[in-house]
Amino acid sequence: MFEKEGLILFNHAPCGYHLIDEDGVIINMNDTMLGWLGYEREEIIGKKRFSDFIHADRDAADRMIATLAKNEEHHTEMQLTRKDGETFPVVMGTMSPEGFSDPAVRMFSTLDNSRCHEALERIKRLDQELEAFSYSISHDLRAPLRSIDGYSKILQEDYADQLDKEGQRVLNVVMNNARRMGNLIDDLLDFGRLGRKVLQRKPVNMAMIVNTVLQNLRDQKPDREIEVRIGDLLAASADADMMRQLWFNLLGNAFKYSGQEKVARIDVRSYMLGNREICYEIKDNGVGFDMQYAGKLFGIFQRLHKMQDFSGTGVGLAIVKRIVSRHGGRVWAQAAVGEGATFSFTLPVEE
Amino acid sequence: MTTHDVVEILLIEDNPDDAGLTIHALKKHDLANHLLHVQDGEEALSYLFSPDTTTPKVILLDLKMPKVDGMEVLRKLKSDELKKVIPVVVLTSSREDRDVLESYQLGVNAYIVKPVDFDKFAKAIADIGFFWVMLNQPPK
Repeated sequence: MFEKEGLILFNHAPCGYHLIDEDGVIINMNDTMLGWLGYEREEIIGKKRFSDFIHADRDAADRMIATLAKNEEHHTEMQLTRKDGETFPVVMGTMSPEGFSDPAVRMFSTLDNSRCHEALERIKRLDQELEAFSYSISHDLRAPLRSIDGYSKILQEDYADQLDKEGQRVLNVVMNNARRMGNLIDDLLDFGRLGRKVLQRKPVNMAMIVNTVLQNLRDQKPDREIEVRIGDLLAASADADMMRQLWFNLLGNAFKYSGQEKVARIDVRSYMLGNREICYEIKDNGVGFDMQYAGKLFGIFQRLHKMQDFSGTGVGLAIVKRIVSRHGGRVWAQAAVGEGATFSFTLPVEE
Repeated sequence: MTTHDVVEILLIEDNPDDAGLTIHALKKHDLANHLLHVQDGEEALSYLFSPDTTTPKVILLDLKMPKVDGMEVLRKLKSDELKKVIPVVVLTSSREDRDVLESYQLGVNAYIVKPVDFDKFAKAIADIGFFWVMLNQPPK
């Protein structure tokens, strides 16, 4: 019943099929596969071993087929050679011979993988272009900025007697903007680099990182009065460099936005959220922000404060978000104007 | 300055404005009296490999230059038995990890990223000058 229809389906399937006997000789192949290889049916059936078409030396090709035949769930990528000598990439799988009339016969299905390979090549090329682009930004955009800042400074120092107060002020504006753009470029490059960096997960001692970062921040503002309470900080499996940057940005913000308090108070703690996530929390008593704009908080170059009130490029929290999501976690914030802010992020517990 | 003069600092930098800033910062601390500025890698190599040049106490090397770039200069110097003892400080705008790594693999003695902020830049240059010209004992 439906024998003819079955044969038509077999021959016109979007993937290739072929059967080999115990010696590896091809005993059947569908039209799709024949078309890919560029052969007529008579040239192949009973005459060629399938390993002849695999673009690898004969032993390697035999090994590939043997491995494939043993491991039914597994799909193997390989290159096949056409009649005209061209090669093309495929993904091949096999089925259990259970229920076959001859249990020594193996049946394989094949997918043409050329388009996937082309796409990968294109991504690789784009990635290289992007790298060249950011390299050029890092080098070529910073050099003129240094000149703007440097020569303004020389003007200010060596020609001070020829500049009045307003002249000095104008020069300061020039320099401040050159420096600001320098910071923007640095932050933007850091942000871009994060997306390409390979994640190296290892057990990370969060308490140690937090203490180092806090010490660093305190050293930058030795005259500020800051009370920090550090609760239990659970270790996590994460990329240590990225964690350092994450804490630096979050604690740096807590320092910055509590700068107008007489005594700044920062609380850091962590707790288990269910049994699959660790949640870390950073709470400050600073200026906070209007929850209405919470959605903008983690966007790149988004700022919720005026430049005069708080310095910054608007990249820090975008970096935080990228680091957290690359680790498979979430980040959010809770705040009110004048009542401080609480930032929380989660990291998944390694199984 | 002729090639027979004593050169303490050899500055290899193609951007004249950047070179101006470096020289300005060194002058402030009286460190630029024996400085020679060459504008690209080709000029640098022909100076360094000419028979009658003196050995500088330190070479300040920019990486991105036309024709022969800084990395090439570094490679040539550090693979030469006589020249490889000259301390080389890479002074560049590039913060790229691969540039840092490659420079050290080639045997650079220090790698400094030029800050945009001139105060920081001037301090970095002065530190380099003091360290390599006044403090460090180069091989004779």
